[in-house]
Amino acid sequence: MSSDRLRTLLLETSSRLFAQAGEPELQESVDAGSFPAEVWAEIEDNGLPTALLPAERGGADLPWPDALAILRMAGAYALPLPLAETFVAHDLLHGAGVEPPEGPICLALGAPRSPIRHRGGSLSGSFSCLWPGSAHLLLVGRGEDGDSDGATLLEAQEAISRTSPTPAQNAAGEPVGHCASVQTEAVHELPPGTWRSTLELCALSRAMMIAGAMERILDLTIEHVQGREQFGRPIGRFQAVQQQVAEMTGHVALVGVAAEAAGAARAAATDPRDASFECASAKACASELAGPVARTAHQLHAAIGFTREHVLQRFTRRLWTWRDDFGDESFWQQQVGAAGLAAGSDGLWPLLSRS
Amino acid sequence: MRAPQSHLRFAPARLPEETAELRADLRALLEREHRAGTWEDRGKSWNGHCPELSRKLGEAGFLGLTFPKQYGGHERTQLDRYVVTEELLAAGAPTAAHWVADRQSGPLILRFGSDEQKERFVPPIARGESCFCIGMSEPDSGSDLASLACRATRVDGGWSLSGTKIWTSNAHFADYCIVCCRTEAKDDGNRHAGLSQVIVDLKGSTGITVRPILNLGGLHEFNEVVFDDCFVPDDCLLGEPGDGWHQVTSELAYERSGPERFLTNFHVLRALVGVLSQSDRESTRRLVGSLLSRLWALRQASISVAGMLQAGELPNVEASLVKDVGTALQQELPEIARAVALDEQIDDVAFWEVVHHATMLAPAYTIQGGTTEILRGIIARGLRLR
Ligand SMILES: Cc1cc2nc3c(=O)[nH]c(=O)nc-3n(C[C@H](O)[C@H](O)[C@H](O)COP(=O)(O)OP(=O)(O)OC[C@H]3O[C@@H](n4cnc5c(N)ncnc54)[C@H](O)[C@@H]3O)c2cc1C
Repeated sequence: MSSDRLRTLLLETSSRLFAQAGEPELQESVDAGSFPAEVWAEIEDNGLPTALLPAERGGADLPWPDALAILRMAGAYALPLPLAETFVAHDLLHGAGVEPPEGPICLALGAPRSPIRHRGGSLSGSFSCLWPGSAHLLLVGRGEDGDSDGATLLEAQEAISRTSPTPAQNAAGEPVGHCASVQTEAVHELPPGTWRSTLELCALSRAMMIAGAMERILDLTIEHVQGREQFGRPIGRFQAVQQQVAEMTGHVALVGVAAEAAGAARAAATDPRDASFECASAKACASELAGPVARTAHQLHAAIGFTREHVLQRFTRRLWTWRDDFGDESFWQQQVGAAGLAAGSDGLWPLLSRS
Repeated sequence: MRAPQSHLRFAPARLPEETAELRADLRALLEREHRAGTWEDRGKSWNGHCPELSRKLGEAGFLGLTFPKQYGGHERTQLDRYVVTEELLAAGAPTAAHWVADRQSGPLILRFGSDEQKERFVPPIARGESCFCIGMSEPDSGSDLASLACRATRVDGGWSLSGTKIWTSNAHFADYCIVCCRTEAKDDGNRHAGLSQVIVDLKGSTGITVRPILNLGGLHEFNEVVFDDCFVPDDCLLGEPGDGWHQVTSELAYERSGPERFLTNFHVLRALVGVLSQSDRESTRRLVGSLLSRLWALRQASISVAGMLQAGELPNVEASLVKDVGTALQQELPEIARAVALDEQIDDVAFWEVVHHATMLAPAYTIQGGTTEILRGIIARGLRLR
């Protein structure tokens, strides 16, 4: 099968599977903190979470650009599952020669500004993680300059025993466990730079999901302004409304292009560091524009969009969550800014135009 | 829930490997010429007039890149042209002597002109020796271009042109102006009917008065151009009489999609980075990063538009989106540079001169080539809201 056809097929399957996650009852139970295990089981039956692994490991040898396309689709359905995290964990574990466990895997890297540390074979630091107790937890720590990074895989039960007894809820309604101080043996040594490259891959994945969610939000908004009538005509006929939709379209387009281009740069890079600037830029853009896109969508939907019943909130709440995940805009802008300043006056344009 | 509708195309496009050589060659030429003093000020960009540089660019094969070889072109792709355009902008090279001709007049003549017109007008454009300007706006017709009043009436052997064009950039040194005018009386039932485009020889005709209008920065870039019974020979009517609206709108796609909509004042960012070199201030890194990340993303979007042009599409909506987002960012850039430099207590006089100059030019970005409001109207139509 040609790779284009394979991608189309994958996206059709994903779209069909992810659509189930939109059932109102399921959303309610997610909002009440329970993991949508049946939906996970179904996507697992269809081989999605393991798709990045090689065929002899039960995977499909899926290249990362296709995995990112699936994540964009996941964003367009506000999929409440740690699929991106499981992709990244599989990639990391497989690279380290470890057979990944079955089931969903969440990731804990520490905060981008204060990573989990890897020193003398053990991991220490504080972290937050999604779905404590419902998924395995892969802790990844960063070594001191030039030292190896390290990772530990915790069983779901062990993960929950290490985090605060009552998880917090993020804006998307998902439970977040917090651990103020972890101390654990690092079972797997990883090459220096793995922590950083994992963070970038996670950020890129979130940028893709934000792009997908924004496309959905734009779609919902256009449909709404075409259908809702006031003063005897569809509100989309009012120029003030058109101007806002057009501005929002520009932002949505920019984020989509940025995520796509960063994905391409990462796929083309032999060393992930060659795509650091691009991944950082994509997440900075996606996180920065998430707020304005959500605001305009709500303004144009008005009261109906402010209800729990309306579908819009499923997507805007995820924008508000995902923009903070794996580095918010302030963090990534500072990375991009530091790269620009380091490049200097004459190096700025070569940096911007390198891919 | 179904899969989301795709309202926009923006197919991902990567610049082919071959463009790397073109880029390196042009960078080297610009470096050389800048050092040799062919031009100095990086701040004028496509408003800077330097016929010598334009001629050298033509000689070295960087102009008329997509034109047929038969007419002095190089039959290269839109992506090649994209690379040349952005390198000129990023270097702040003065390109007014060839910019409009190479970007839109040449392609317009190639698309709608007669063989004789192509023969006559296009090769000098590719050599960087022929400067064109755009005669669309009038005192009473800005955004509502179709209301224009400038008239060409039939006379023996051609047309007599009378009326006033305004904001005509570069008319004071251009060789030709492509004037959009009325060749039939106004028809209230069809506002777009009866318009035509004529190529007016600004240096060889009588009945033309070019009056300078200084812009707010005190620079002479645009003009008022009055035509009073100016004779335009038959062979200078472009395309079909009455087909002007269609021609003008296709011209605008070339005008709107390019990197000049987000790189015109890139030199300000260069200057900022130059005076800072390093900063331990979080807000500085954040603001510079916000600008850079969006510039990077816009550039990717603009490359995508170039890819669509190359594929023979006319991505009008996508081009309008790039211009809308790009010009807004370009307008924000001097403001952010100022804010950062104030926090950092920069007292470099030359730097502040750059910022003040850029601040004065910034209002134009969201006006020229179609205002923000008009572009957003085009986008809304593309989304089928109107
Ligand atoms: C630096 C510069 C260079 C230029 N160079 C050239 C050139 O070389 N050749 C040329 O032909 N022209 C040129 N122009 C003119 C330019 O194309 C016009 O300024 C532009 O089309 C707007 O027209 P206007 O200035 O008459 O504004 P108006 O059309 O009077 O608009 C005024 C305001 O009203 C808004 N507005 C108008 N109509 C609508 C509507 N339907 N809905 C909502 N809002 C609306 C506009 O967006 C704007 O904010 C140049 C302009 C500038 C600033």
